[in-house]
Amino acid sequence: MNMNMHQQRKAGKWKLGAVLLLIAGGGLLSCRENAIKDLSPADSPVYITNYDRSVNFGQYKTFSLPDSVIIESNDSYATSQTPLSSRFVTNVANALTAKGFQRVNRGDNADLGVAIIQVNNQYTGVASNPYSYYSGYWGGFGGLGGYGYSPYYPSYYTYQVTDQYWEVQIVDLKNRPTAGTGTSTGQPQLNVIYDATIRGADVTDQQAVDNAITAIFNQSPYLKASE
Amino acid sequence: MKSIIAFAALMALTTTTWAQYRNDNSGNNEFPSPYQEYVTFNIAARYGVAFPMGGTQGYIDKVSPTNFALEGEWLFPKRFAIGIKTGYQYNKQRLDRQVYDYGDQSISAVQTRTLSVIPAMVSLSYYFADNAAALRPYVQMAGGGAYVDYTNYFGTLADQSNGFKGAIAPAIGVKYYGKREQGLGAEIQAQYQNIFFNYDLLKNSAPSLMISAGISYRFY
Repeated sequence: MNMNMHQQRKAGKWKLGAVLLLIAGGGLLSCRENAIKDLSPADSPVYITNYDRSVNFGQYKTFSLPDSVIIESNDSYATSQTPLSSRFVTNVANALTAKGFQRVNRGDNADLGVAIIQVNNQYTGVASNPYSYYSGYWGGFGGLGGYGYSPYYPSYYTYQVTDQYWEVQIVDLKNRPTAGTGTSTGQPQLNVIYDATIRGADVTDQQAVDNAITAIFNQSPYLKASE
Repeated sequence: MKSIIAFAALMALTTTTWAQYRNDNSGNNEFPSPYQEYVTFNIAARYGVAFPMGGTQGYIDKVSPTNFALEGEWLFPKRFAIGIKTGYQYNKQRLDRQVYDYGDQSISAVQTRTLSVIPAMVSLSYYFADNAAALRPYVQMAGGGAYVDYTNYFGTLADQSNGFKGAIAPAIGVKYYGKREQGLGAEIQAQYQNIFFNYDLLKNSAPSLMISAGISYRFY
């Protein structure tokens, strides 16, 4: 009997150890959460570029770039002109000029169409809460209530995801399909031949715009007009 | 005659030493140590540094200063022990802004590469000294799994993969308790750990070498 008691006490000790271990593990897990806390604003953004591999950029000479940027929010579009967006336009125009392309006046024909887009999408999702089913199922066992799931917690909840980034798109105007072909609406479908996005951090000042545009065009050496 | 005396003296001295040695090795013969009679326990907590190897090096090639190991063992009267081991291992490396090519895309980003590991393994150890000894070197083979979290931050965006993967971890080490039958002691261990995890930049598998030191406590 005494021996039994002794063993029980031992088992208790081990359980305590396991609990302490879990607490320690849980606390330490937060290391990864802090991994990018010290990231500077200049280091935060991510510049992603993509282009049509079948296109020879040497065939284009001129580009058209409006003075305003497009604000895309889900499926609606608007234009905007702020000091920040003007900075975008100026920088993109300068970068393309430096690469040998010529900007045309508004309304004139050009080989390339350039669009600067500020994307601001919001998605709503629905997810289920798996624990609510079980908490109802095991409702009789009061002892299991320690997990913090109220019996009134709904089985489904919605969440919102905001996707905000800047985008520079270049479409091919030179080889555009003639009107009436391609889509049912009768509008000609333009090919996007170059696309750059600025993600990961909100662009809030002119320095950020300068950094972004410099980085984007530096990593796109193929974007060059033939001499 | 001189040589006979010398021989006798030599015999006398060595026999004494031999007797002491025997005595040391088996403890007090009249009252055997509980460590030699029953299944006893040992728990250990250690801090360690880990050196990435093989596939891990392709992802992070910097020494990790954040590693903790926790171990519990059942010591059997012979020199074997069965144990469970876990802990926490974390490593991080920041790379300056670079352009990475992913398929058709070029991505310019400052990467912050992180790898977190929580092992959960069963171990089998053989000790080169009895359970009550002051100094206990051992060899160990552990196997089981590990929860791995691979998160590579591109700026603030995360490329993540995680899961529970198989793992093995052979180790050698020594426990030192100061004197026979003492409970509290110190321990150092060298462990080679290979987790069968691969993702993107971490190719094949994720091995590492961890050198850890800490406290060890045996009890019954």
